[in-house]
Amino acid sequence: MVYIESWDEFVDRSVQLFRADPDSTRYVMKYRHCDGKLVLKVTDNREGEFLVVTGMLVEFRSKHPHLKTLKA
Amino acid sequence: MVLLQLDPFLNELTSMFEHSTTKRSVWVTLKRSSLKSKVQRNKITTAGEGIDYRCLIRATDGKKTISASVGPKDHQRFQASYATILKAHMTALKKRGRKDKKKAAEGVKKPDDPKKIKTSV
Repeated sequence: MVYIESWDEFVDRSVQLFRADPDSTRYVMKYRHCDGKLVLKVTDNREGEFLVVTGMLVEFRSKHPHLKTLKA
Repeated sequence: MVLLQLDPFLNELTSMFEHSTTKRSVWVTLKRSSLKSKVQRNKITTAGEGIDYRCLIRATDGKKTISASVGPKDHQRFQASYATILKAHMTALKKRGRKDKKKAAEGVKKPDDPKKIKTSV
């Protein structure tokens, strides 16, 4: 599991993971209000990467789930 | 695991966020799925038809789990409502970070990004 610090890199790698195996790639988001943290994780059960966010504009996320409706 | 229609799912998700401010976390998972078993999928592909995929969305607060299935037609509407919910509830993230990202967002915005935000009823 790779921790990534840049959003763009996170998106690129997530798209790569998804295209390689669309049926087992999933995108997980965990939000903890009390800690002020948001963790985004993309994994295909073999490898994955995650991004911890403490202050991110949420509109970015609308870019991301679009890849879920892509056909292989 | 409760499978809901789209609007009830969004309402439940909102209440999960509202009830999880002091202690718990909210987990949301998105995954592509055809909602059919492998056997059914193989049958469909051998028959030469295309498989319809949907986006399976699960949300939990540790105690309760809800899920919904979004198809390509509902996707735009779901995205708009989902974005509204996230923006309204993720207020604990630092403000300073938002300002920097906002400048980056203005440069990187996709043409269909400024969606009309509809609140789900």
